[in-house]
Amino acid sequence: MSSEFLNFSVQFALILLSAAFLLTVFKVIMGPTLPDRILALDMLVAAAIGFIAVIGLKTGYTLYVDIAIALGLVGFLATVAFARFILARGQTEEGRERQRNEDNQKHGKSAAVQGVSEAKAAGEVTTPKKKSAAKKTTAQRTTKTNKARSRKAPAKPETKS
Amino acid sequence: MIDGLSDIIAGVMIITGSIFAFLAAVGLWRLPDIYTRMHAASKAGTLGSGLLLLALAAHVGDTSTFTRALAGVVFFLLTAPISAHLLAKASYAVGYRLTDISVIDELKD
Repeated sequence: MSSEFLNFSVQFALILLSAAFLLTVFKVIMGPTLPDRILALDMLVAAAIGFIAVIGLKTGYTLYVDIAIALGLVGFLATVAFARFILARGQTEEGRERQRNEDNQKHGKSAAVQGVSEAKAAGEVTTPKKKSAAKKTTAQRTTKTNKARSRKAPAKPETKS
Repeated sequence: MIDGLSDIIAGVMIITGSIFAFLAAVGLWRLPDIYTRMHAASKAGTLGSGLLLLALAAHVGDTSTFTRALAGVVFFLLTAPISAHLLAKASYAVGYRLTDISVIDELKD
């Protein structure tokens, strides 16, 4: 009776682990960002170790437990290396935007205000009419900060996601 | 009798472990951003595969297999938090944003 229960639980576990494995593989394929995919790969290693344990229990073929340990080591090292790769790849588009906003707030301006002043500056260049000096100085300041920012951030390939 | 007991213990551990692994995979899809998904993958996933390896250790009477399965569990428990932490630090430093409904961002400024 108890071995019947064990058989049932092994079948149940194999079904659930297959579902988990498939879900994780689809996450690797679909995952919107790079860290999502790396996390799904990590999870894939965990599911594979679970598979090895269940199959070793079902068939008594426990040689693969060594391979499970090695797989865990490789998965860990791969995740660490991928984390270093994320760091080396540099800022995302979102992160760059947020840094820009923080810089603007440091200068006492929000992004929306700066956009308006930039539009005004552009209008000033195309149609030179008499304007107040204060507006001109704000426009100059924004162009200066733009230059400083472009110097600070070197030309990196724009990475989406 | 003892054999039956070990069968039942191993069966229960297998069922709970596979349920945890499945819930980790579901959480990978359902949770809103990378930092919350990391909870599912690194906690529930590690617990799931650890329970499955412990079930193998409990069922197989062999000492060498028992030791190997236990070493695998310990190794996995040691490395999973480290890799999750590194991944979270890297993706935060690079600028992946938290979800809108998150309450607190302690790494901000």
